[in-house]
Amino acid sequence: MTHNLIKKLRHMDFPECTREALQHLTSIFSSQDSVPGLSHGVEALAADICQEFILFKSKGKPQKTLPPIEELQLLQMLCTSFNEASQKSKYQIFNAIFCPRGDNYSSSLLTKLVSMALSISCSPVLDCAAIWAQERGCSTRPVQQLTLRLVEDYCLLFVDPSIVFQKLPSTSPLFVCNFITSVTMLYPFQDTRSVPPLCLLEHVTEWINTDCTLCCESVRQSRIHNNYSSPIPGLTGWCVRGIILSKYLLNSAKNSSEDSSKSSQDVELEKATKLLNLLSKLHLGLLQSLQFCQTNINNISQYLITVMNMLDIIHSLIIVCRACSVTPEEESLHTALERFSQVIQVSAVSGCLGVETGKLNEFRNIALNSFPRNRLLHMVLAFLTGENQQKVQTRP
Amino acid sequence: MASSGENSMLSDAEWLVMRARGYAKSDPWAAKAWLITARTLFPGSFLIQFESYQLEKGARNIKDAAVHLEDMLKNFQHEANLWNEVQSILEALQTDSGTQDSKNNFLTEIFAATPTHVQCQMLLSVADKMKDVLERCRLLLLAMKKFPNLVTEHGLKLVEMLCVEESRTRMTSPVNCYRKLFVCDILPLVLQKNRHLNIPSGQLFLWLQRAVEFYISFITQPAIMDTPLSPDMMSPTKALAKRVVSIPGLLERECQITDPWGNLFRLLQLVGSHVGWEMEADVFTKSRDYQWQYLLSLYNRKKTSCTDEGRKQILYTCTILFLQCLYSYVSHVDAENFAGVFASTGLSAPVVLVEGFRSDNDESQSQPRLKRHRSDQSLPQIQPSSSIHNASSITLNFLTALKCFELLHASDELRREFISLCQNWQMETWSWMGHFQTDMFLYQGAFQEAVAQIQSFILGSKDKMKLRMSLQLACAFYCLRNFSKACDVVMDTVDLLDRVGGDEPIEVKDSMVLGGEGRQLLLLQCTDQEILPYCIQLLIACLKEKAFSSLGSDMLLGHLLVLLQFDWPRQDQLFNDIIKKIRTQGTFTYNLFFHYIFCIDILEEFALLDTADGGRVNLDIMSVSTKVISQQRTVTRGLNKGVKEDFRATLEKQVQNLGEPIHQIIHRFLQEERALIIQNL
Repeated sequence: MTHNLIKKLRHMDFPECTREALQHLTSIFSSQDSVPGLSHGVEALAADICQEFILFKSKGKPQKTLPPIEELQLLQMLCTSFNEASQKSKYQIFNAIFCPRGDNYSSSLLTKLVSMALSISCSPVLDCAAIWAQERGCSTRPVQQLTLRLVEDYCLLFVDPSIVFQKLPSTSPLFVCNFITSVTMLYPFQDTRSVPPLCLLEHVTEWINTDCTLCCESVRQSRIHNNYSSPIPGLTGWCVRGIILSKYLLNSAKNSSEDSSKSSQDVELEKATKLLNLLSKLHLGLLQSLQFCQTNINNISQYLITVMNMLDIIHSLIIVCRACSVTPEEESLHTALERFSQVIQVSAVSGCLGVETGKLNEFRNIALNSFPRNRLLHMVLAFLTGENQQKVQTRP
Repeated sequence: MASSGENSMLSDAEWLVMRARGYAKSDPWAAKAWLITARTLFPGSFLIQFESYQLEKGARNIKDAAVHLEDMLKNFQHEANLWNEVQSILEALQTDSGTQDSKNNFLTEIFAATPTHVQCQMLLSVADKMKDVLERCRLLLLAMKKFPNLVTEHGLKLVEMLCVEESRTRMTSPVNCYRKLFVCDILPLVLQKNRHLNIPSGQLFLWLQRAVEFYISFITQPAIMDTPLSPDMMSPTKALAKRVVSIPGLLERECQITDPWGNLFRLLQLVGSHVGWEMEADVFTKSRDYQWQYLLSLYNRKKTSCTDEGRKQILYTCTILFLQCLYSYVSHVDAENFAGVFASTGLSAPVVLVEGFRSDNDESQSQPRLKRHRSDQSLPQIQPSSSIHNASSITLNFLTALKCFELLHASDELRREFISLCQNWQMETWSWMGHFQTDMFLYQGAFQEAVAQIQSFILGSKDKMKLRMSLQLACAFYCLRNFSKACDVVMDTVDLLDRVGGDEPIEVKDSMVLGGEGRQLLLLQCTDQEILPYCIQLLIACLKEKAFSSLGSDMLLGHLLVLLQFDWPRQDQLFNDIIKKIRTQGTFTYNLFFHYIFCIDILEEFALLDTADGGRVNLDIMSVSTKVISQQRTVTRGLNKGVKEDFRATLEKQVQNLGEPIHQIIHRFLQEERALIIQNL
């Protein structure tokens, strides 16, 4: 029977064979709904169908590439079948197609599929891609590659804000959430080379500030999918290191009058000022997103930020300060510390901060010894240790 | 340096607020972020919470400000600053939406953005804290208007509070702040929102009575202008439109009652619905005739069943209809004394109802019969002056009021209850009720009563109203055949006219003498144009009565001749009668003739009388009587001839002399010969 199906498909031309193959795939996963996991035979059949009629990779033969028109047809068929497939089987199909081997062809097809899904607002494909990214881990190569392509297509190619990106939160909030996590890794904002593109920062800030539920989308999903991902540590890093770097950029733009043209100096000045503005707004959005968790998520399975993340950030801050030769009394340093303190404070009170007492002490020592005295940081640290002691006390 | 500022004087919470404030202008996001952090550090700090509210308010973020406000109301109920803020929000709510500035508008929007239960909590808690009854009522009223389900709980309490406060503060006038809120705002709400009130109907009727008393006093009180005249108000039309009734204790906008009668009718209907009356919903918007027919059929239906409740329905419906008709009518009589909220009557002077004069053709009926019986089908007709453009509605209101008044006296019980209402309202002090009664007596032919009524009011009156009463008094005396008194009063009346002696001739538009069957009344405007001709006519009528009776004299005939000049030649019939009488007598003595008679037609007629063709009447009309001359001198034959030549010469001279306007001559005549005229009557 299995062979018959494959044989039958082999007798068909594109696009009929692929359309038929997708229908079979959908029915295979839908009919198996009640049984968790597929029997080995059926799973193998699904894998074979995907390989041969969607990725066009037959055993022992070179990769067949479709002409652009046909490839476009393929992408459309995929979007349509994801729209029509039952809620539970959507990701199973996606997984069957894109998961087994991250070869070049399949990842390039994935990038094209996501790009198309973005432009036609196809939520199921974006949701699946988001889960895929989360399962793979946002820092992994395929995910970073996809992210880079999207940033290039939607933020760098045109300077004007992309409408596709503007409406993205309503199409797939989970995709936005994991995309943010991924871009904070792609552009960690830890030196002048890793500053996120202004247009990207604008989009991210706008998303966060208009919808404070976005940041915890991935944590909500983690009840189903085991891999943890949170945009909060990355965004906090942006806010904390960003201010030092942006101030540095601003100062170097101001001082570069000798060796650069007037106009390019103006551009740099404007860019640095915009960065500073956006970071302030982003920081507020971040606090509001954390606050939202307090009132709306009673038992999130995982923390949005941990003391480990905090340690990473404070280490990186020390490095950035050193690289930018920040003096202890510099205002930007205090602003950075205060923003950091605020995120820590609000996430702690909102129940989003994972605390291990040992790590907290480590963090406390570094924070107090590496930086000049800052009243807010002291207040927050006192609050944290106090609260932690209370927790220990209340726990029998 | 602010960012690392170690302001050790400040507490942590104060320092956080200070830091947030530092960013308020330069970086609003940072300011907000600081306050979010501050709130997590000190969740019990009102200072921080209030600052957050202020920040959102300053940034005009209605939704966020509302959230903070709600939060504070939940957690900081004892903070004075919070209640000050709530109070200013509620004050903004209460200000007139028309005059609202942007600040008030914004506060109103914050209020609107809070959840309903919070709005309700704000209103009730603030109202609860209010010591001043008026303030409290205002807020509770606002609360009830916004949340109608509060009416059942608070409505009756509020009613009681206002009633108690009104009597406690010993308000002298029914137009006071407590009564206004009670009658215009709370009572309709309570009656409307409570389907089943557990209130005895007697109590409801008492409330209705208080409402009637309020509205009547409100619309009949003279307008007060307490706003200084701004330049654009100097124009008379604007000044008129701006006439405002002020009620002590209330704001100007609260004193505006746009449709008092409509409100009263609606209240009547609400009370009616609670005591189970069957009422036509829109009867009060229909025509007067319809309203009267409705009332009459109601009366006829209820007359047979004769229940207490049926009678109450007649009593209140009829009384209120009566009052409205009466009011509409009297606003054309005494407009100056009525509050300016009402449409100007469009007339320049009060209207006055007086007896009409019969033409000489039907002499037999010329006397009005005293006290007509009601069974008499031929009710008097009212003939309005052509200058009164809305005469038909004035007449209709008068007649409907009259019919209602009669209906209210149709049975003993009704009369008793109506009189008791009148006593409660102290109706005897309402001047406009007096005006109506006078007119009613005149209409009914109850002249004796009319005289008594007028005499009790005339002393305190002035200007046009005095003129009006004076005229009606003369009229009543005339009808009572007390001619000398009538003439006396008429001449008083003429003295009151201000333009007598002016240069402009008075043009008599309408004839005062009416034809047709039955008694007729005239509806005139109290202008000189209309009053003077009527006065002259009344004098003529009085003199005529006497002159052609057995007590007649040449003096009376002479006076008549003088007066006939006024509206010459309209009453030539009377003139012919006089000439006929003189011919028959063969002599005529009137030494004032050349003082006052300048009418060529009359002079010619007299020139003729003297001749053989004219009947050789022996005329003694020179200023100095021929009799006197003959007594002074020895009678010789030639003397009479000389006299005759004098007469001719005087006649001719008189014709050329006419320069003085005729109304001035008449006026002079009435002034100079007043005693003589009265004496002869």
